[in-house]
Formats: sequence, structure tokens, C-alpha cells
Amino acid sequence: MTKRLKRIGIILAIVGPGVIAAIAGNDAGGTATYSIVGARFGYHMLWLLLLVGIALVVVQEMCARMGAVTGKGLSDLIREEFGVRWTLFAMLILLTANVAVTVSEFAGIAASLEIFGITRYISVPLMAGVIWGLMTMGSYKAVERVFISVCFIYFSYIFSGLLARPDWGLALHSTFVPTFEFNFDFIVIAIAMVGTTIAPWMQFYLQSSVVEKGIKPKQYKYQRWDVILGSILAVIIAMFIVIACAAVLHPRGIMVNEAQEAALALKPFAGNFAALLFGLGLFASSALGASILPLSSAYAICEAFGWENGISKRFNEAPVFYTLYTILIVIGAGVVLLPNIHLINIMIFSQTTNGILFPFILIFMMRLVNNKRLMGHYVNSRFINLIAWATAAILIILTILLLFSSLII
Amino acid sequence: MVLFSEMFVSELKNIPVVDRLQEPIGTAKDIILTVGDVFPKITGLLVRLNKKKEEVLLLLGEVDLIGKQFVVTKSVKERVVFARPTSQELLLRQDILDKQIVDTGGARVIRVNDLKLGKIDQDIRLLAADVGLKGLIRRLRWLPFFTFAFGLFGKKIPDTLIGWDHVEQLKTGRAPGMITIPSKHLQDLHPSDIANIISQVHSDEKTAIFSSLSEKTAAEALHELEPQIQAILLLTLDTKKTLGILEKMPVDEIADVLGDIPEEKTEELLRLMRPRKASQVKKLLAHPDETAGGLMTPEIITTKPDYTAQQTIEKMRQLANEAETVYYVYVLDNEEKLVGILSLRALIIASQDTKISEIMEKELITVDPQMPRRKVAQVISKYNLLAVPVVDEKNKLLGIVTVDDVIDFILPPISRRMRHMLG
Repeated sequence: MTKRLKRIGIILAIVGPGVIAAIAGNDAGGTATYSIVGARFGYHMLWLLLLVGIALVVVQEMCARMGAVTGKGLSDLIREEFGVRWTLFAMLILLTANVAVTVSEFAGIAASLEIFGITRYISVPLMAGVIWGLMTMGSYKAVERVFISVCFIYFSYIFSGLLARPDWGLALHSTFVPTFEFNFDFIVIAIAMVGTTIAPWMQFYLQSSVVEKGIKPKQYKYQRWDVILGSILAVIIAMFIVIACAAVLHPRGIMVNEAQEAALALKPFAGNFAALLFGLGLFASSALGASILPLSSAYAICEAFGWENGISKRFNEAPVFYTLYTILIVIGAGVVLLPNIHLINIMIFSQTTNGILFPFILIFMMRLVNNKRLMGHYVNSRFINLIAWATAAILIILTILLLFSSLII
Repeated sequence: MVLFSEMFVSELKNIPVVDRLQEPIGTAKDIILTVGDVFPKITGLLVRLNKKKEEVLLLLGEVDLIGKQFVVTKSVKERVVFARPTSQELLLRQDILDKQIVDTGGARVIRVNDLKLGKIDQDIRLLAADVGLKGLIRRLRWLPFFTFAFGLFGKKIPDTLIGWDHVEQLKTGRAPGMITIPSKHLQDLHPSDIANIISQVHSDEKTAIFSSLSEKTAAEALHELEPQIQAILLLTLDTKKTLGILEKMPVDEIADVLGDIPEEKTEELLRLMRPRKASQVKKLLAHPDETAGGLMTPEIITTKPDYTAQQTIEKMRQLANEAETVYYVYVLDNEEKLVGILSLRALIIASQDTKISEIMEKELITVDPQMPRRKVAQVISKYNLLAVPVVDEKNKLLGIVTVDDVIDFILPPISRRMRHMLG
């Protein structure tokens, strides 16, 4: 690589983390959730997705700002400001949420390769081995790039959504006029949609990348745009997945009980290649998630408790780090291989878990970002605080409603 | 004053402060210490008053007893004198507990789980940082349970204390920016260890530690760091210090480092450097990074075919400090063309008056500046060289690539990690 190219690389690196986190956020659980939202409820949930999108921009921006101003990761900050007990609590929450997401990523790997006729009993153990090995081979970053580029396949949902002749009037109406159904299915999927769009792990991952890039408060204005653009991009893609599914799947009464059914939504754009395109995209995003999540969880937890970590260490130097990493992969792959596991349901329920747990992490974040001693004049504005607290409140209310609705049934 | 012999900070959380008549005054919130001594002295407590809900400073002179259950003052409530806290005090809980410190003994960055206080003569001092599992469990107040559970297996909870004399604190005050001044311990570490520590701490502390190093140590540590961190450091350091550090680095490493920072900064630094060095660096910068030309250093020792061994050794003595390696001497004719290579061994065992042309190696292995790094590594590995000369198409000597420039390509990844580990 020439010096000049390298320099361009550095510039790209600054405008990277936000977009990458957003793309990676559109993972197996995301695809499944948005597809089901469109297929089962048509355009009905678009209003919630719009609100979630605004919340995503706000929350991600907060995170990046904290990273730039304090130079510390989120789990670092939680430990330093709240002490051991609260850290244990926060890390248990994060671990639970991340185990759930890892399971859903492996479910995504299984589902995508089953489209190509490969049984999960081969694909899942194989991919678990490959992902586990990635760390020891040290070529993690390069592989991450490859997966991220394949994830751009998801842009095809935008074309598909446009070509599918959706009912734009209805779509627009549903985006701005809320409708709500008080039943278990609706609430579970609503929480899943929030949880997959703003997942706890994304906040830890994004803040760490901002810190790792060494971005200073002065350079933060560029970073801010990267994060905002990334989030907007993520929401636009999510909306088009919903719209494409609402236009193609919903009228035919397809419920997306299998991943193959979701692939049909790409037909207006890709024709006979829809299944291929969908399978590839789902595979890449699931594999990306499955390799990021165990690693990012192990990093976050070890950092918080001060245990040795990092892939440059050997097992006996960083035993907890490697054990956590391995356990996450084993659980992730293991759950998917249990007999009679329904892949789509497991993806949805793992995202619901995320949605239920996210408010706890958000409360930690709010306490940190509004701490003047840490953030100086970079604390949240009142407007940002309002949106963030509203997000937490909505999720908590939805969770309570979920409890009620399950009692009624 | 009466005090426990040893105590952990975690045991002093929110304990009541009472006067000599057992009348409640407030709650001990934090412990104040002064830095400077090897084992820093505790000077007072930060107390939250019951009445006014305000935080005040209770100097140790006013305290009669600090126990695990409560703190007792010397006089009665009405006569206890408090001071007003300023932003200058260093607080144990807020500024050190749960934060990162550098363990200079193990050359690593580690998080403080608990802090051990103890009485030395009449002073209470900070003795050690607890960085182990036991500290974590004590903080969670699960010590009795875990001691029992470990006991069932006939084991003890692993306890890791680092004496404060082996600790480098990353913060010396509460005000932002007051970070790392004392770095005597750090200076004594190997540059690779320092680089390892710098890469683990937070970004402000990176700059603080780095700028506290001597120019020579900083120069050696800089090259060991990841390009990204090198760039961060060079961009935040003041220009004078940067120039001083660059002055102490070999030309090829300077080119390496400058290749990773924005062009304007590179040009500014090149303008300010000594002209001879700057022009050498510029030449290197013109070559792509991952080729022989980008890796090579022009700082070598050369001689002429008609020199004697003695003359050559004299010349070596003068140039050895500047040169990257002294194991090879390169023999150039009058047109600067490479005609031979002399190993240090051949030079030393030859008698004083022997002509260089008689003892030099004429079968030369050279590479051209465009050769990619991986190929260069193969050449060096194949012929077991310590360095390989880089020549242009007219056989003019441009520089040499030494084995440490390409070692990462010779060793398989696992050994690379071992090397990293061994520092």
C-alpha cells in the first residue's frame, strides 16, 4: 500500500465506526424481525420504526460522544463510576443480551445455509469452528471487512421496496399515525424491533471503536456525522425491508415461518436470484455478528473487571477472556443444534430479550453522559435527554404490557 | 491516635463518623491522600454531614480513631474543625479505586479492585493495590461465603496485592489534565514494555505517559507502537518534543512513522528537522511502504576496496553510533557502486594491513527497491542474512533492509505472538 493510499485509509477509518456498527446492526435478528414486521403487520409498525430510528440516532451519538470525550469504553466507564456491584449487574445484563444475540446469529447462519440446502448440523459446527479459529489466526480484521462488504447486499431491499409497488399512501399514513394492537404477538415483535435496532452490544461496540480510533473531542464533529449517517442508513434499510415485505408478503398471507419465505420480498428486484441474494446477505451479516459478538462481550467484561484480555495474549495469560469467548460461541452454536428448535422464533425471542434488557444499559449510559465531571460541557442537552428517557420509558412500558398480555392469554 | 494495623478501603465505605461522646456527625465518603511519598500519606476524610447534607474535609489531626465500624473525632461535635474541600485533593475512592494503574513490576496496566491502608510509624499510608479476585469479592461483600466455598475444596481465594512502590499512578490530581508526572519507574522499563503499557491505557494517558519519557526512551518506544497510536501521539505532542524524539530515531523508522500522519504535519516536521536527515527521510518516503525501498535505512557503514582493514575499523568507530548495523560493512567503488560486502568477523580476524578487496565477499545478494516486503523477507531468510543491501539498476547502493524490519514475515503468526509476549 502506498503512503497516499494509506492516508486515504486513515480518513476512511475516521468515518467508519458509525456506519460499520449500523451495518453490523442489521444482522440475522434484524432481518428476521423487520421481515416479520412487514409480513405479519403490513405497514402498521412503521410509526414505531420511525421513533426507534430517532432514538437510535440519539443513543448512538451519545455513545460516540462519550467515547471521544472520555477516551474510555462503556464498560470501563461503568466500572470506574459505579464500582464493582453495579458493574457486576451491568455485565450480567450485557452477557445475557449478548448470549441471546449470539444464538440468533448462529440461527441466521443455519437458516441462510439451509436455503442453499446445507443442513444446520454441518454448517453450524463448521462456522463455529471457523469463527473460533479466526481469533487465533489473527486475520480477524480482514475477515470483518469481507463480511461487511457482503452486507451491502441489504441495499437491494431499497430497490426491491421501490419496485414492489407498495401502497405509498398507506405507508406514509402508518409512518406518522400510530396504531397499536394489544396482543402478545404484536408486543413481542414491537419489543424485538426496538431491541434489534438499538441493541446493548452495539453501544459497547461503537464506543470502543471510537476510543480505539483515538478520536478527540476536537475531531468529534466529523465522527458525529459518521454516527448520525450510519444510524439513518440503518433505519432506512430497516424501513425498506418492512415496506418490501409489507408489499410482497403481507397481501399473500405469508407469515415468514421460514427464512426462505422472507427471501420472496427481494423478488421484485432480483427475480429468480432473490433466494440467492437473500441467503448471501443473511449469511454474511450473521457470520459478521457471530464473530463480533463473542469477542466484543469478552472484551467488555474483561475490561470491566480488569482481567487480562486481547487476542494477542495466550490462553494462560488471559484465561477468562478466552473462556468467555469460547463459551459464547459454544452456547450460540449449541442452542441452534437443539432438536426441534424453530430458527425464526429463536431470532425473534433473542431480539425481544435485547429490547427488554436495553433500558438497564441505557440508564447507566444516561447517568454517565450527564456526569459533568466526566463530560464537562459535552453533557446531553435537555432535548437529547428527553428522547433518551422516552426511549427507556417506552421499552419499559412495552415490557409491562407484554407481561399483562401474556397473563391475559 | 488509635488505628487498626491494616485495613481495606472497601471496608471504609459509608461508615458513620461520631464525636467523642458518640454523637453522630456524618458519614465518611472518601479518603484524601497526598502524593509524593513512595507510600502516599492519608491526610483526611471526606465527610458528608448529617445536618446540612454538605461534604466537608475532616483532617486526620481531628480524628481519634478509625475503625471498621465507625470513625471517632477527638473533640465534641461543636468543636470539631472542618476544612472546605478543593478540587486539588486526590480521593482514594473517586480517583484511584476502580481505575487503571501501571504495575511496573509486571509491566502491565491493571485495574484496582481494592486498596490496602496500613499504619507506618504514626501515619496512615496507602500500602498496596489489590488487583486480584479476592479484592473483587470483598467489594461485593461476599468474602465469607466465598472463603467457605473455596475452603470446601481446601483452597484459598487467590489474593494479588501489588505494593504501592511498584505502582505508577495514572492520575495525580482531580483536575482534568493532572495525569502522570512521576515516571521514574517507567523510564527503567524496556521500551517494548513501555509501548505495551501505552497501548493499553486511555488516550489522554497515552500522551501523558509518552511525553514524560526521555527522548531516547520515547524514540525506542515509539517504533514499537501500532501505526494508529504513533499517529495519535505525534499529533498531540508539541513540535519541539516531537523533533527531539525523531532526532533520536533511525531514518527508516522516522519514514515509517511519518508515513502514517497527515501530510501537512509530515511536511512541517521535515522542514524543521536537520536538513541532511530530512532529505534522507524524504527519499525513503518516496518509496511505497511495503517494499525494500520503503523499509531500508541509508544509515550504513561503507568503505573502499583499496582501504586497509585498519582504516576501515577506524571509520567504523566514527560511524558506528549512527549506523543501523555494524555487522556488515559495504564496499563501494568511486562511483558509489556496490562491489563487495565485508562481515565484521572477516574484518576483525584480518591483519591490519590487509586490503579490503582481498577479504571482501564478491558474490553479492542484493534486492531492488521495488521488491515487496514478503520477497525481501524470503531472501533474508533463505541466505541467513542479518541485512540485505538495496541497489538500483546501476548497482548503486541505496540502503539496507535489516532482519528486524521483516521479521514478522519470516516468523509464523504464533511465534510472532510469542515474540510480542516476550517483548
